[in-house]
Amino acid sequence: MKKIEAIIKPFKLDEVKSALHSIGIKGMTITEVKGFGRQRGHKEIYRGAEYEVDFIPKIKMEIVVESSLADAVVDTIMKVAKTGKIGDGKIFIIPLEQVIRIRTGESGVDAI
Amino acid sequence: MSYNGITLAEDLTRQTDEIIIRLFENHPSFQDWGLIALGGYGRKELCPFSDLDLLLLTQKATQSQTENLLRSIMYPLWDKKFNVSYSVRKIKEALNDARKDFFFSTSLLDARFLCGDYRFFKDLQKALIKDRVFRNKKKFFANITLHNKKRHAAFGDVSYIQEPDLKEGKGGLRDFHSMMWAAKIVCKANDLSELESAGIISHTDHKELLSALNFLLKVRALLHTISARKNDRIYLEYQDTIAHSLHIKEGVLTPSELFMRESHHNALILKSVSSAAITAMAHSLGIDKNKTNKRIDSHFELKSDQIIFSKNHEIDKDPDLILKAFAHMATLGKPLHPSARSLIRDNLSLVRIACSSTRDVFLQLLRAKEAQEALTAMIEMGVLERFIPEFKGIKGRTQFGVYHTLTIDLHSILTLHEMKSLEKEESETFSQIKDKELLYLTALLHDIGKGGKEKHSSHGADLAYKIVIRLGLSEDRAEFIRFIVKKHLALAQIALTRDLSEERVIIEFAQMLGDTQKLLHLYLLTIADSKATGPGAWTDWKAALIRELFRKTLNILQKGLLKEPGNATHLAKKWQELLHRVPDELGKKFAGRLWALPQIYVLLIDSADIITHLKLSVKIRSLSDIEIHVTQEGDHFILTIIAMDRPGLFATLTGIMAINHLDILSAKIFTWLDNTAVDVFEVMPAWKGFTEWNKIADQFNLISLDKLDIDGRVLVTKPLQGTQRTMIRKKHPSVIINNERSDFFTLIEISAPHRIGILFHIAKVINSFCLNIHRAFVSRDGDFCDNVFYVVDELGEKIEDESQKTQIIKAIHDILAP
Repeated sequence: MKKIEAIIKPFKLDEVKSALHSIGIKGMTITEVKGFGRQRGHKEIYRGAEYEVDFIPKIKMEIVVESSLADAVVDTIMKVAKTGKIGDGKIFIIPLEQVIRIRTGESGVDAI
Repeated sequence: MSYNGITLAEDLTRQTDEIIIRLFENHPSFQDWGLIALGGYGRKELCPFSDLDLLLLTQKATQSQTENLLRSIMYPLWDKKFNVSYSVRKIKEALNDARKDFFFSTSLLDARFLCGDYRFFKDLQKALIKDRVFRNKKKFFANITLHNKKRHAAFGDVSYIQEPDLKEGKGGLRDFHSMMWAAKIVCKANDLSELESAGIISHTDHKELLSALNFLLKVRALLHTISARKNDRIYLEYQDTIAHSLHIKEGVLTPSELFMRESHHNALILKSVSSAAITAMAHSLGIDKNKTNKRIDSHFELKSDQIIFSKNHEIDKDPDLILKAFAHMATLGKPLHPSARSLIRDNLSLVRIACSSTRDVFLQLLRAKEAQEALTAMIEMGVLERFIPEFKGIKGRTQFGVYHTLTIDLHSILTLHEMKSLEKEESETFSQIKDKELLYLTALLHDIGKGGKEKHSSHGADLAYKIVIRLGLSEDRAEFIRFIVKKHLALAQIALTRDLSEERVIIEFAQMLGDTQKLLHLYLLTIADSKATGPGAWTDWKAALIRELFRKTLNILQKGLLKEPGNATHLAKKWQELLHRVPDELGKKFAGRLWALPQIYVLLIDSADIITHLKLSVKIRSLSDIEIHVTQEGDHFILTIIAMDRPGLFATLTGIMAINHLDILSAKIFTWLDNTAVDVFEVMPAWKGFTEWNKIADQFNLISLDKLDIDGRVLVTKPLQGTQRTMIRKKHPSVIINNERSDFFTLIEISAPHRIGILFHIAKVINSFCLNIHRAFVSRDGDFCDNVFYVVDELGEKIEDESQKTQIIKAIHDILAP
């Protein structure tokens, strides 16, 4: 099993979500996050006052899948979340030791 | 609709009494004790799973006798799953405990004799009345109000909240209980009728209170049954089931919405009547210090710091005084006196629909510091829905959204309140608002369309328009309000769902708004609306996106494309024309390409020329394709060149002009969104009758095949004899890098003396820094040329690095030097 964490631009969320849905991904966790990478924060000047914008709003998606599905998920996110401009985000793929469904106690792939 | 909650609770109490009494009287020596019901059981307010609070009074029974008794009563009760708790006390101990524990003292106030020796109960009652706990009325009363305050803060307001706590919340049953405790001590009134006789509540209050209690107790019984435990919070998941159990039928609203509306309404009654009664009792205790009335104006006075009408009968002649009472409330921050409240409630039919004669008073109310308090009171007392009947549609309506935790009418008022706080928090933006009354009106009216079947923002926009026209506002102001209400979700929606680094997104939004004031209003309303929606709705994260859209749009409107007031309308007209002409003149498939045209291009280029460019652009399929279009205008020519954009294109084209001695008088360079470059040059050939335009395309092809060394050719190209002019003005070249003008491009502004090939050299330098020229404007003023290049780096970003900026400026200066 793999956990796929993707940082994407906020306006891409709906598109990515429905693309993942269409390849059969049913569950995911979404968090509103802030951060920066190569796309640095910048200064905003508004009526003479300067605002330092250090962290840029992004969406973090967390998806857990059977290992065989990981590539499809990554490809889908790559394709849909890409604008070609700086700040499109990153994808992290993490091996996953165990998944347990709290309600039933099922574990492993059954619990995904 | 009437409910039977009170009877239901009494029935359950009676059945429970029977069980307990039978068990108790089975015990041989039960007369040695007195069995008393306390708290809710004492009040006969039992619901399924309620706690049974028992007090066993005794004088001489030994511990083992008592234990024996308890075993024979408690065990069977526990077996039957009753939640029983008990205490065994002597009267003296009970009194002692009451002095130490306020909650125990109040539960003694609800004590009810069940069985055993009645004398124990009688003695306890007698002792209680004499005891200092209750003799010090002021202290006891102060305790009640203190605990109410704490409880309200912890549990919130039942009349607003989506998942209210029926018992502990403000407007919940506990408010009724504490009112009755105070009534017992302050005016010796043991029930509502006695409280009415004491003049603390009116007859209407009494009737409404009973019906509210019937509803709330009925719901509480259902809630306990459904949750299968003692639970007083109406969780969302239960609301549907309760609504069905109450046989509420679907209307415009769903049964659960109607149910919550009814809950909120009843809680409102409980809340207003009990708080008015508490105030009245405080007055009768003489707790308030202001003994004499203070004059407010010729119609109003302050009595014990609360607003009253000077002459009650005046409202018959001048019903607008009712609205004035609320305006005073908002301005002075003082509550209405119970007598003023009942006067208004008894004369609700006098309240007139908002009209121009009430405009000024109403606007004064909206502007005042405590507008929120006054408007809430207007809702509670049914005044607002008579003054603005459209509020009837949204009164007490819970919204089933993730974010909304308040009912919509209260949400509207809270939005107004949040808007006022923005005067400080967003002072920069707030201070630019020209008409603040419009700000307050849109805050109050933005959700007025909720509850209908149509889309709430458009429906609400029309309602809001009608309301303010009725209020006597000018057509212009009413239209403004209509617009803002209609678009009140747009800013947040675009900020969250569109790519804000696309210039086109921002320009479209700016164009839809058309002017800065609308943007400022929308921005403030978006913040106030979100903040009033609930704690989860306004986060730093969301604020950052909304702020970005706001700031970029403001720049477009104030410094960019739409700075000139006429540009927005002009642009709209141009688009209309193109949408009409392009399919007509070029065919339908061309209409599909219109999306690729940037706004600035559409604004600056004639429609006829745009159509020509579109037609030519079809032939551009690869990097080697080029289309050249020439028209003559007087002694100079308009040369339009269309090709696919690539790094260095502008340098190549200006290089070709230079080696052919074509003097560039002006140039407008655009890149379409599909990467088509459209460059429009105004050129002057070196001699009359120049016709070799084909050379341009040929040389372009040679250069792209690397068969022509354009750099070398430009260097050896010398001005033709007689064309070199002498400098008339002595002016130093200037190079400025401007990042403030646009949020999407860095502007390189160059002013320099003209010489042959100058644009070629500048373009080469810009290329050498890996910058892409996305747009450029060149114009000649005599022997000087002014150039503005809109550039981004290879990643599409502006140039922010200071050292790179310095290097660019230096490199350009170097080639400008003669």
